[in-house]
Amino acid sequence: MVSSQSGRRSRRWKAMHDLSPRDPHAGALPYGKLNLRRNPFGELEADDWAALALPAVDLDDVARRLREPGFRVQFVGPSGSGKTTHLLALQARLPEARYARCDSGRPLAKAAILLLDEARGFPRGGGSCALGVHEKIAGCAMTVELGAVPLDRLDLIVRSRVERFRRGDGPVPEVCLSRLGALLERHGGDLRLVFAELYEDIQDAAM
Amino acid sequence: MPRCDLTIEFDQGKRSFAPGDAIRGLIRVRVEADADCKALKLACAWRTHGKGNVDKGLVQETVLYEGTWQAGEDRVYPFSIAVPRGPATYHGHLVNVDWYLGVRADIPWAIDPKAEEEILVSWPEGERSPDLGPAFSAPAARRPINEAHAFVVAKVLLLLGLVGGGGLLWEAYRSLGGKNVSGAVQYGIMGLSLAGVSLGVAYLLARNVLAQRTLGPVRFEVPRQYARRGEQFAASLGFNPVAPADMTKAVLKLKCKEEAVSGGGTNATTHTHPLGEWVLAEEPRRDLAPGMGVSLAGRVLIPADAAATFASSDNRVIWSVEAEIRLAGKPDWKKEVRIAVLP
Repeated sequence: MVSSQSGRRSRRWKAMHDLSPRDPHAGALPYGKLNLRRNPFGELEADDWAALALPAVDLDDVARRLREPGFRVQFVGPSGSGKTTHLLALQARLPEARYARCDSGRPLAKAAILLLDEARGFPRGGGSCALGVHEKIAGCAMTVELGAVPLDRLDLIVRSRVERFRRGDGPVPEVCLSRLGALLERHGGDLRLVFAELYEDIQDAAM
Repeated sequence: MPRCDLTIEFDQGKRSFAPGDAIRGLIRVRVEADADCKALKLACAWRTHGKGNVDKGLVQETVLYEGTWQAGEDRVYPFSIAVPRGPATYHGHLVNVDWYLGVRADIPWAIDPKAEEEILVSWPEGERSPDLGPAFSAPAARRPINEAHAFVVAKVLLLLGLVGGGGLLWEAYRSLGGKNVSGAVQYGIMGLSLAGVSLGVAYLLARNVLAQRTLGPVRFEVPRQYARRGEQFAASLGFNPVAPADMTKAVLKLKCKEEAVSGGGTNATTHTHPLGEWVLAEEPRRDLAPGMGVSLAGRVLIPADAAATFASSDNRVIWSVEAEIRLAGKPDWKKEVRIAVLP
């Protein structure tokens, strides 16, 4: 069982078994032998989301336009297509903006710019806002459609995540393209589900 | 580009501590360009990582330096900072708790240079009141569900579900009569869902009361709500049946699992991962007869390397004792009591 698991893993991951921690302290930490500080495919903090976003549009331009009163932009796509990532990346560029989930049940904060996830419509008032929506809403000055992620882009996203949590010099785990292709096919482009499987792969290798 | 590079060096390379210990070492600053440092801050804090949303807490912060740096300088700042009270370092499958020593130079109009190193924090053996996380509540503080009240709630819920569900199904029937097929389908689905959910919840609330009509009052005793790793843990279960029944199994288990919540609102997902399950006592299939008492009692050794209880907002390590009596053709009796396992 163990050998079949490690055999399967070696087909999924390149260079996993050649990793050796250079920092002796890393040996005491579960991800140390992978030369990682943590599992890159778990939940992230807001600044990690912002740093790892590979936006589909020029977010600096979107941020500049959101500073104009009444500008409205929507990011449209199914679950796991990157709506939250885009909104959090905008928040990192707009300290005066407030990010909120419309399905959290909490009242919306007052802010000059609202970044609303899981929105179903525009908030009251004429302020600027960016929405994360599943279905397109009429009346937006700008619409960014987030479709299925192509394989080369997913590869880039995965590499960025792994690099973000690199512990030190030396090799880090690398996912085979064939594995990523199979995951994309299985989950129809839902990155949350793709990352859930990659999370388990890393756990298998780390423990 | 940052105007300086910061590195953290630990005294004698020591990185394992207990709360209250002093962490000693040096901060080395290599200055690349002239900078006005408003504050060189050193902080010690914990945060979670893994499958759940990130929880963090307990920052101990100290300012090491305020002033100017000139290009080409190599500065050294010795430090000594106490590890604050907090949960111990933990590495699991879904939940991880790690401690960090971080240093950041606050430089106006520039990217703040920073560095961070992990440390390991563990509670000393036998610590009387370890911190088990900011969301931990003592097991004794949890009010057990009053089964009699739950039974009344179940009856009300069942009534509401049947009336509401029945009303919606009647509307579906009327819509069908008016040739409104899509309306009929919508009402039908809503009616069946409401009735089904009400029935399910009502059954869960009423199950133990219904089972006790056969089993009589069930005594489920967990003498200690706190236990330590490496110690024996005991629990017992007993009842005197008041009606004949076919008991397929009775079992007492100690269980440990990780629970992590990712996302928020309607996208929130709760992930669970079992860490261990130990059978304290088990009774095989047998016929029950009135007055023929059944009792189970047992103890297990909690492994010395088991995970300690931990609870933050979205990440938990949960210990519980579960008792279950399965009856063929009748509602089962099932109850779970949370306990806390200390390091």
